[in-house]
Amino acid sequence: MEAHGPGFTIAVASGKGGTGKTFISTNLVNALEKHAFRVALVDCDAEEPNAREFTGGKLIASKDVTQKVPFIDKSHCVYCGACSEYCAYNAIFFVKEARVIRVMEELCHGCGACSVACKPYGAIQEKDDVLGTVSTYQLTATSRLVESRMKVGVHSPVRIIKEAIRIASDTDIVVLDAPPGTSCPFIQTVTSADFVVLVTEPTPFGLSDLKQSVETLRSMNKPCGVVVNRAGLGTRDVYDYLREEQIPLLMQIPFDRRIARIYSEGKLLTNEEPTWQLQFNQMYNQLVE
Amino acid sequence: VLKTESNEQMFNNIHLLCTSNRSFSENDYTPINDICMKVAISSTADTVEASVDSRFGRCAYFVVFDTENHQVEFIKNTAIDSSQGAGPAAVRILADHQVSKVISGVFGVKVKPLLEALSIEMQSVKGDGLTVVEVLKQLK
Repeated sequence: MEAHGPGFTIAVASGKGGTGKTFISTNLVNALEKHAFRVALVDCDAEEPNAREFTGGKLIASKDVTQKVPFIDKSHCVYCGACSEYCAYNAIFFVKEARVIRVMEELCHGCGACSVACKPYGAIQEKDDVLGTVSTYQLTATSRLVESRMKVGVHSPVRIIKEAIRIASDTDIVVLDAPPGTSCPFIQTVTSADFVVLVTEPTPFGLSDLKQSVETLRSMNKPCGVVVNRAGLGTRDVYDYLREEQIPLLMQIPFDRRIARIYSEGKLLTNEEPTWQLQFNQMYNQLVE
Repeated sequence: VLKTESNEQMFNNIHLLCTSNRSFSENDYTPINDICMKVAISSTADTVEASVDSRFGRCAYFVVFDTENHQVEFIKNTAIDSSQGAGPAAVRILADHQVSKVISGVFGVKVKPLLEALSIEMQSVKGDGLTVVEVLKQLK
């Protein structure tokens, strides 16, 4: 794929899980593609990627994401314990008297501090440990899906997410389907976004988690707007909050059995009901303004 | 080290069998001597009346009972402050205190091979609200 300048990156996020991030991001990409944009959808929910359930696509590339983990050469080890002391993550288990030293690979962050600690003895070598994979799927001539998927047991998906976003970055428009919550995987995802679309539902849970997301994004100086999904449910509190905080309401998706059915069948609303293409394109236009 | 008369009384009748079925590998380190044995119990507080903490790595205290002199020691589990890897860090604390057996609720997958490598025997106990002293009595 030819290299382009930096495109426009939108992260679709939410504090609460199950509010409709994947629903919004897959339909947004579909609507934009139909408007002849070159677009990439990045599934950043590496712990359980599911965008492909809706987009399908043909696998065109796949790569492992690795990190360096230490490997201890016991014939050179003097059992000084310096590597274990240097490690901030309890990833080197060491008991001097018992002469037991073990690398806990699943706890290693790949920082390399232990190698520095062992420099006088050279007993620590590094090897590659697979954290997960990034797979690229061609959806249409001008759109693709980049899926991050972490290996079971790996402590953090951050590196995998970072690599997936990097692979997608040569596209005109990049839509990031963010992982739920406001922890490291979320931060990593929204860091590269020009605008964050927060999907919420008008319920007390939805509002509570929306507030956390807004506060986090404000501390990062990231512009954001809100899509209310399942509108008609719950209370008016979320609308009052948006007005008070002057957060733009970008779009509303009604709480509608028909829409729920389309989604549950793994279909895209913007395909099944083409009038929604216009709605999603109008939402996009609000973001770039 | 805390030792009171009531504790002394409490443990007067507790005699622990030194386990004869422990296998030793080359990685083993030998307890100070074969007769004495330290047993650690994960506890929710620094008293024998406290209930057993079902979590190993993130328990509040380890109550260490010396089967030879019946002394009881309360060790604060500093591993609890670890953002990750509390289990391995707790194993290290036990090793530093020459513990040869540990009683807790659940031992995780990271912790088990480490305790095995150090020949620290594991015993799981079930039951909510089971107190440390009740467990010690069961050891009899």
